[in-house]
Amino acid sequence: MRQYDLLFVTKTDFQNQPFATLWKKVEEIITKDNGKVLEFQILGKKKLAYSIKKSPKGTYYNCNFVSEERAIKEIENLLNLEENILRYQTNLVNNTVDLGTLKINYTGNIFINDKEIVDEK
Amino acid sequence: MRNNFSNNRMNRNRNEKINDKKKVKILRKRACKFCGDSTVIDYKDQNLLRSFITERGKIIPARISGNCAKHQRKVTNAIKRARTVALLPFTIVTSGTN
Repeated sequence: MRQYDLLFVTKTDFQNQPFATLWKKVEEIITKDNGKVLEFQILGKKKLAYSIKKSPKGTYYNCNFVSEERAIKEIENLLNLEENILRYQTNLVNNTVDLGTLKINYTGNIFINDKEIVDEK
Repeated sequence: MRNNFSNNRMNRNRNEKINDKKKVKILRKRACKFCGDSTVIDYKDQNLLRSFITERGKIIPARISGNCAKHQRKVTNAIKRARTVALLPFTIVTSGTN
């Protein structure tokens, strides 16, 4: 098992329910082989340093998880097909990980309050 | 006489300026910002990384920033990662340049 850090940037209008359905698919892939999501954060709307697909702004999401190597390819294949995802990046945090020693801050219910994600100052 | 006097004065001013330049060059080496400190270099930390790029978006060398080799490597990797997810720019083109 390895610990990864996944960051993705979506279009600003791709929020809440549409994003939640995509996130569920990603979560399924992670948890398929005893993997686990450790943390999920909405970093908020930010102005991009350069425009991607003609959009000057993007919403940033960050996720920390433990899974097998092959899950990464599946996740990347899924994200490649999604038009609303502007960028994604997976980084290896730890090569070998014991799940028992890690803190899990992920509850699973992130999108309960369908709040608009506010622009960062 | 007057010309001589003014020439001498000009020379003196020029010499002073050269001396000032020399003084600027002799700087004490800056200590690494991260050694002995527990700050983690993260590619998502925009504000921290922005202090290690120039106005044009180039990475500042360790010779100037004062980072040690180990931390400079971490900073450059973090900047490059931040660039791919559009947190930091590759280049900044200022107005009036091509």
